[in-house]
Amino acid sequence: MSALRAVSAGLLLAVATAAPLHAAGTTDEVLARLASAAAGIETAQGRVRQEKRLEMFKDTVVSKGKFAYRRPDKLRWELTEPVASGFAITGPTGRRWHGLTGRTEPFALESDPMMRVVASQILASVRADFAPLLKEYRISVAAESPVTLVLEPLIANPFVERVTVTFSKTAAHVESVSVREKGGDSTTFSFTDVEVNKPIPDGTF
Amino acid sequence: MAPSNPAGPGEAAQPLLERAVAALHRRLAGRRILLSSVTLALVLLAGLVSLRATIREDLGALLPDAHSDAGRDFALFSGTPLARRVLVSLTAEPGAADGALAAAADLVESRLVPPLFSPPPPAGGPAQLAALLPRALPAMAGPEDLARLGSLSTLAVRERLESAYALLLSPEGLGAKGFLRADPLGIAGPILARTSPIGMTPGARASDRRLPGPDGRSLLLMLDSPVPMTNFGKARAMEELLQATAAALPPGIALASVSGHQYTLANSQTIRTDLATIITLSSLAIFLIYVWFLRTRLALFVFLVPMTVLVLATAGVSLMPGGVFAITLGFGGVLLGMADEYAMHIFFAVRRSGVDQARAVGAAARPVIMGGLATAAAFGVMAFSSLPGQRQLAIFCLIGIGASLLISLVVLPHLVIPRETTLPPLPRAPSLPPRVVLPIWLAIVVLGAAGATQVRFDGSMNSLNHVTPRLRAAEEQIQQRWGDLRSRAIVFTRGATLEEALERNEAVYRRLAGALAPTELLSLAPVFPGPTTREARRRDWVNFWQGADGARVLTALRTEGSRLGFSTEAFAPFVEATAHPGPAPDPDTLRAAGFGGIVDALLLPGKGEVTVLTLAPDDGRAIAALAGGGALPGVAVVSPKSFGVSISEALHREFLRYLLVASLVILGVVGLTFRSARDRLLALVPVFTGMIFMFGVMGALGLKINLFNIIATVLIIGLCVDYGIFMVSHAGGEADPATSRAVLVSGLTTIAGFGVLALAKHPAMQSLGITVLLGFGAAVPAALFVIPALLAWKASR
Repeated sequence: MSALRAVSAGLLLAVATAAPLHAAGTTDEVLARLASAAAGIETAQGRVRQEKRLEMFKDTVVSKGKFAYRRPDKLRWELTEPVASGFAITGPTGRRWHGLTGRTEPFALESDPMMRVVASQILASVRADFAPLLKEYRISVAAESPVTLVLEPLIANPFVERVTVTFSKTAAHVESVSVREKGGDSTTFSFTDVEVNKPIPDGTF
Repeated sequence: MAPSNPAGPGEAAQPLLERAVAALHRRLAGRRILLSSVTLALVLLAGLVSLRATIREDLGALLPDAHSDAGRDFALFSGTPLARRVLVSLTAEPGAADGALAAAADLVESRLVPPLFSPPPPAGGPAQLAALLPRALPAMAGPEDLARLGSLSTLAVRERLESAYALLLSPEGLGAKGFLRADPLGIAGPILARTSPIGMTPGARASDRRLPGPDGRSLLLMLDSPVPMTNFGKARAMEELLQATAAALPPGIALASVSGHQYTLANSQTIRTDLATIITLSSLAIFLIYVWFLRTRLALFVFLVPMTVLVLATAGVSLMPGGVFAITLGFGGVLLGMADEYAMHIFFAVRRSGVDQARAVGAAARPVIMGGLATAAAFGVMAFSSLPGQRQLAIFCLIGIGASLLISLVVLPHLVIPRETTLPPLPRAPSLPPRVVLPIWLAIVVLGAAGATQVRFDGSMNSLNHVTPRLRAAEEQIQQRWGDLRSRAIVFTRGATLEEALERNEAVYRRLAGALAPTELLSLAPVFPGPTTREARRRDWVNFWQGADGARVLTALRTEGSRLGFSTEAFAPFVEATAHPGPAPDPDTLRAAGFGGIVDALLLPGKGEVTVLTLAPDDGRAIAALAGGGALPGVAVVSPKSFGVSISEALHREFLRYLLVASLVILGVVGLTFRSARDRLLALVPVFTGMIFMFGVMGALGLKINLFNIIATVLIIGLCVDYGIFMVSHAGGEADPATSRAVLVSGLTTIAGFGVLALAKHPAMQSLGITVLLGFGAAVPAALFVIPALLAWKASR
């Protein structure tokens, strides 16, 4: 669960900083600017590249996909290769699909704790509600150019050791989110082609 | 006036009794102040004792002793955490904000905390669950699971690994990684699917504390409490906390809750309110009756007799161990109404005499004492009841009757003798011609007998429960959304040690699984069997993986995994467990993995023994399955449905016993009091009429007999026989004005006492009031009109 929150934290920053971040500063100032930028976000969409370095895999596995968000409660996250899978959420319900099985199944957030955490964290984060993240992570500015934030769990976390968020040189968007797990595994998300407040077809969700 | 037909044994006793009472009266003559002072001192002392009484408002008064089947069942159930469970339903109204439901649940859990509520069990997490699997799988996988594994083809293994691969790449992959390493073939899934559903709601897991509603707009929280459900004080504190929590919820979220504590609270509060109303109204009603019929300030002393008796009887039961049941005190108003009849009889006898007061008191002593003995004997039968409440009530009434007799015969006559010698004559006794009375009476008897054949018994405690509209609505709402969560048959399996209890519990599960689907059962046995099975499964597990099928599946796992890109160490925990399974999970391991809620609900350590519970649908199948094939050691079943049946059967037995013994006793007393069969039968007319009218109306209206109606029956038998004895003792062939007046007034005061009970909101007290009103409503007119009419009819022939 905490691992999912870490991923969500990364996604949050990816979306929230799609608006230009003009100046670096203290962590509080950075977060305040992120919150301010997120307040004007009605929609966001872009491409995502995921690199998994797991002990369970012989090699690094690279996945590609895309994400989309529309205020207040619509979210879509999907990987298209090497294995197609993903989920879309509207309000309290959603659907998920797996390319291998070819099945799409509906779900309710209330009865799916994992999806509830993912959805609530991402949606709350897009609305610039940082309180939940600050309760679980110590957020610090590791570098100013490019801006790099480091999130470390405040309490013992069985999975996540550290989350590193790296912004583009212009700080216009997040370039990558890296989740380092205990035991050495890591996952890195890279976001490209992020568009804010562009129309998104209803069928997306 | 002497009794009409003194009986044999009574004949010898009568003059002696008369003389003794008259002599005592003469000896105490002129010592009015001394008698008053001693009585007042006794009342004050009794009042002090009563104030120190511990009032009990729990259901203990209404439940049979622990040595009876029903009592044992209730004691067993009360000891389980399930009896203390609080169900909290949260509902999101249309327009409620997203996430408001989950936020409300968080808020509720953050506020409903110790000491009134139990802390949540350790949540556990994917890491703990993953760590549990290598130990749990060898203990959980039975022959059918190993057979399924043995039939896995290479293709099936590949498909499972592909699913695992896809899952690892999804956002859920981080949490699922541990599971996939420990169980890549998905062995646990089918086992948990058939064993861990809570058996109440499809899809809900045993480890869940929250159950989502089927509509996605509601959520059920199952909270535990250390507070016994019969603890009134803490039940009130819990309710206040629940109300405050409901008020603090986000807009658009409604809270409804149900627990045994709330039933205790609703009943106790209603009984308290009823008690205050009953005592006030019955006192007022009785006082007004006295003012109307006695029309002298000396009547105040008659009024004080039942008041005095009430205090003395309360003090008497206060000295009993175990506290005073509130329901017993509820009879205070009733006792006020019935304890005055002896005083009333003496009052009218003394006022009538005018010549020799001592002789008049002596003459009245015999019917008064015999009537008192008959009433005491009827109540005495109840002292042998298996219901503590009935036993205490019997003692309460016996003390009251004894005190009333003593005060009426010894103290009262000296206080109510008027100074003037000339007394106003009593009005003529009311009478109606036999040609009017007897046909009506016969019609009532015939119709009553017909209706009485339709009377049925009701052992359900629910019918005696006061359920508030809010509690009923919450029950209905929860039952509609999540099913009948509170009516489950509970199988108790005891053992001297944990291992013995688990061994026996497993035997119970095997027996039940033959008759019920595994998903209908909530049991520890599938995941936590007895030591014999655990060892056997562990041996079978190792043998399987060392055998041809196991080796083939492991090879497929390795080769297909490699082909998909999994590393050689990807499934190391699982591969290790196939060769060297760890020890089976113990309760602490299960708690750490997030199963604390279910483990603590089903595993009850005790002094020198351990009890393991199994829940099953309460539809009779579990009881039938356990009854067949011989008794299992250390096993008992508590079923709410059979609980009601066993109480109903116990009530039926006790009712018949009361009816028989009380009837024999009053027949004996009446037989000792009167010589002729005619007078004996006449004396029984009020009892007979009251009983048959009461049962007739109950049968016609579909009112079932509950344990409070049994008390009503005893009251009618015990009190109405007095009216018969009084009327026949003083009737020399016609109605006697003093006796008729005494019976009328005491009957009216009794009816007033019970009439007030009929106004009670509590169904038990209301039921008692209504039924006794019926009985007395018929018995008093029968004494006043039917006995004189029968005498007149006999004389005219």
